[in-house]
Amino acid sequence: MSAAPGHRARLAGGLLAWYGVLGGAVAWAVHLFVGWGVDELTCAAGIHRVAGLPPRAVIGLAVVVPALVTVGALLAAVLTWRRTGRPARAGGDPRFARARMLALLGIWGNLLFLAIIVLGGIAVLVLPSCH
Amino acid sequence: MTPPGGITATTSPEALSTELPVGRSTGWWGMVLFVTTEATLFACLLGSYFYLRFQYGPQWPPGDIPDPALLRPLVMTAVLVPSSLPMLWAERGLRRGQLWRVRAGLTASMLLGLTFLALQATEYAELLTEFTLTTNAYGSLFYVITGFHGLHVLIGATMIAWALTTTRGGLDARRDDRVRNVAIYWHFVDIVWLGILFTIYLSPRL
Repeated sequence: MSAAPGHRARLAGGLLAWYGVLGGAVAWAVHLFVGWGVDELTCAAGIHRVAGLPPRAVIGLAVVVPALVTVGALLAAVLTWRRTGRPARAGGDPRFARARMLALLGIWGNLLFLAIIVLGGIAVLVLPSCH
Repeated sequence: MTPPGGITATTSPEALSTELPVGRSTGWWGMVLFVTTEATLFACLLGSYFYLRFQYGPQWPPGDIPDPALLRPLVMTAVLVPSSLPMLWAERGLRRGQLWRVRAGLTASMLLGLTFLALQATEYAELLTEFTLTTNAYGSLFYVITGFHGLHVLIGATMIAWALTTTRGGLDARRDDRVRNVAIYWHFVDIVWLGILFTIYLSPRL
């Protein structure tokens, strides 16, 4: 039987599991505020560059970076779901079943948020702004 | 023997199923999730304010509505935000098992909250003669955002009154948990007010 993980490994593992659950939701919120905010505000204010970049590049970053963060969260959720499968099925400690339930929530949630970010990003990038 | 670390240990079933934060009650999780949903609602309301403001054009507040007066909101801030201090004091009293301190802290926070509501009522009595909820988008935003927050203060004060009633029989783990959960809600209501102060009262002057 393998030795129990140390304190730091437990902390990192717990944080990784939470990232798998909430990462997509947080990434979507950032995408929404930055992407749509830049689109609306640059249009309303007649600005053509944001921090030296054209608005389209900033909006593109506000789509690609949150999408990558969400993919990472999805992978973390899948990892948690797979790793806790055997001990959860073996019964005994309810922690494994709880982590597995949260991971399943994370998998579906991250898939949903990834779809929202990608489709929302396509809309912002394809549709002409200021209309 | 040194406990294992590294990627293998971090991604082990034991590490991934670590309860984080550890040892919280179901009530604590419920309150944290409730506050999260409430925070989302306020974020949507404040986001709507800025969206409509930038859509509206340079004249904001629109029409004949003057910039909001600052004195009363600042007094309201001076009343509400420090009301978290007696709540923190009460929470410390919980850890030391001092019932009198818990009750005194809760009472002080509740009275400050009710004072805030009284000040808000006087503000509404004045402003309703100038513009109402249906005057324009600014009027709708002003009364919905401040009114929604005032409702939260009222709910918080009611929760404190309930917590005070339950502590009449003394302190135990269950009652301690109630007071801590009420405190989470109260601190949240205080923090949200700072966002409202900046958005509604300060931002039109920037």
